[in-house]
Amino acid sequence: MFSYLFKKICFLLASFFILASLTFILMKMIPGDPFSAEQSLNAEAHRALLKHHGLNLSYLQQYKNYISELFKGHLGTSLVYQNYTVNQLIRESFPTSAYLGLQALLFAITLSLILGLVCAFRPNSWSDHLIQIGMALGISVPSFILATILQYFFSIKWHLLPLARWETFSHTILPTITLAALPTAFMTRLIRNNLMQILQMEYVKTAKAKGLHPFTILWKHALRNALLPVLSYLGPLTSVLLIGSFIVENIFSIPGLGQWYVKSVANRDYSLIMGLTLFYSFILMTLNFIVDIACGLLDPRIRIMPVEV
Amino acid sequence: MQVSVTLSHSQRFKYHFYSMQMYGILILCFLILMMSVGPYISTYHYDQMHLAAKNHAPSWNFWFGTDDLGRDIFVRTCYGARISFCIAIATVCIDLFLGIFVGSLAGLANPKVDECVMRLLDILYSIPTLLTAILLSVFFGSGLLSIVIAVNVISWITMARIVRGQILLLKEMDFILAVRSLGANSSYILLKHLLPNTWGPIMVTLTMTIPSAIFSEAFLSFLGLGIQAPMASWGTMAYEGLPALQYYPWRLFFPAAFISLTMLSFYLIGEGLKKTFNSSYSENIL
Repeated sequence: MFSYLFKKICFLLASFFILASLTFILMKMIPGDPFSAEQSLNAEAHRALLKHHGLNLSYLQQYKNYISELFKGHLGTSLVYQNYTVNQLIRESFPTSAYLGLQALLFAITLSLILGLVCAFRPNSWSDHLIQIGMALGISVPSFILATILQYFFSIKWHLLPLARWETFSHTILPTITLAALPTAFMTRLIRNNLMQILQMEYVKTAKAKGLHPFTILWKHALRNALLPVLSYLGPLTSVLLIGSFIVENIFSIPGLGQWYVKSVANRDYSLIMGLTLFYSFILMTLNFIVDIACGLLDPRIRIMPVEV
Repeated sequence: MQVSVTLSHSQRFKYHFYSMQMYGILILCFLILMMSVGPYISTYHYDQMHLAAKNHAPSWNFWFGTDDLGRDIFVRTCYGARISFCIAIATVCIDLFLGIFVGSLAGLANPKVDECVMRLLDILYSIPTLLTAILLSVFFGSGLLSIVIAVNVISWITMARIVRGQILLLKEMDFILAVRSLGANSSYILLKHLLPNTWGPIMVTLTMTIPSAIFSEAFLSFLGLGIQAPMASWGTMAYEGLPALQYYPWRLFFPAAFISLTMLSFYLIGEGLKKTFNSSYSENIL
């Protein structure tokens, strides 16, 4: 277990280091410096700005500073919103994003569990087919389209839910549904397929022979084993939620971090893009790491198997 | 509970083939037809403006309506399909060449090289794809080529991993031993025996990477990073149509519907292929 843990930690650090270096190299590859686009600057002010941001040093020195700042957890300052550091922005807006993400996650897990069980309880029945069609739609309709469809019908046509903004609980409903749609579809499919496979196994036959109710078998015996692949899906799932949050926060004008990211991309605010990209990848990689460890704890085969085939 | 009926191989193939993929392939054919002949049917050009007919609702003149500059949405949707299919073809090429090359190299090389290559790929793989794509497209600027690079720079790794896994499995099998004992060299074995047996998983993986590349393009364009006006891509059109949703919903509806149709067709084909090849592959998203 310890060697497994050690290997995973080395991996996490190496990936993060590579990504940090990659972003640095990309940043240096843009022709000119961040301030050369501003026509109004005279040479004096330009030099002062460069010096203020430490951009007059050699690349190697800059790289050293950058990495050491990263180790201290400083992600730099925004170039467009001069008074903001990236850390400040994250502190202010990340809680909103995290709240929305967690709500969507809970919603997706609950719903997909229910739908998956319904599917596996009566395979190839009309309810199963209906859910499968729904899942195919959930996978193939991108979130920005789903969001606008939901807005069009629920807010504009039927006036049931607020169109946008972030105030009361009713404001969170449409964003949550949009964000949860794709993960729900994937997880339902995953749970259904796993359950179908497990229901063919010998121990389920034993349980059936004991005369247990089909639902008890499903709930007590099969579901437990079907959930492990779902756990390992939680890593990619957070990435889906995150990418979704860029779009959802933009469409529903929610003051979260995703909106800042999109804004920084639109403004070409390079240091903000770098900082937020690093922050996002850090979160994703750490979550993937935790999920890997959890899977290793729950299923010894994963940590013993030398190569995945 | 699945009913196990003994079918001959060809029967099973036919059964699965006609069930799911067929719908997917039909949708795909429809899209390809539209992409190739659509612009010739219509009398308009994709950047031709009709200022007298701005935001025109779908009608006999403008089948899918017009946008805020009076451009015909039908023609623009057809051109959007061309861009999406360009991305798809580029993805297929990169996946097939780079993915298969690296994957088979890692699978056939000695274990140390394999270990090094795979660890490196694992690290690259753990970096979120769309974040890299966003980062790269910020730097390469906008345009079709930069989008293709940004979308595909990581995506071929999936293919490499799948191919490597398959080759590791296959190369221990008896028929490879037999060929080897007949004196065949590695490249012959790879081309004639290993790769032909890997086509199933390769095709299934392609049905996952192609839609995710198309989706990435739409996503980047939707963020304003992708294809720029006056060129038309589905993502750009959806982005432009979004503010006008309340009054001119068709401006968003048509590009959105076509993105969804494309995704659906690949999903159906992929599911069908999976059943046909009768194995389970690891889930891959985005």
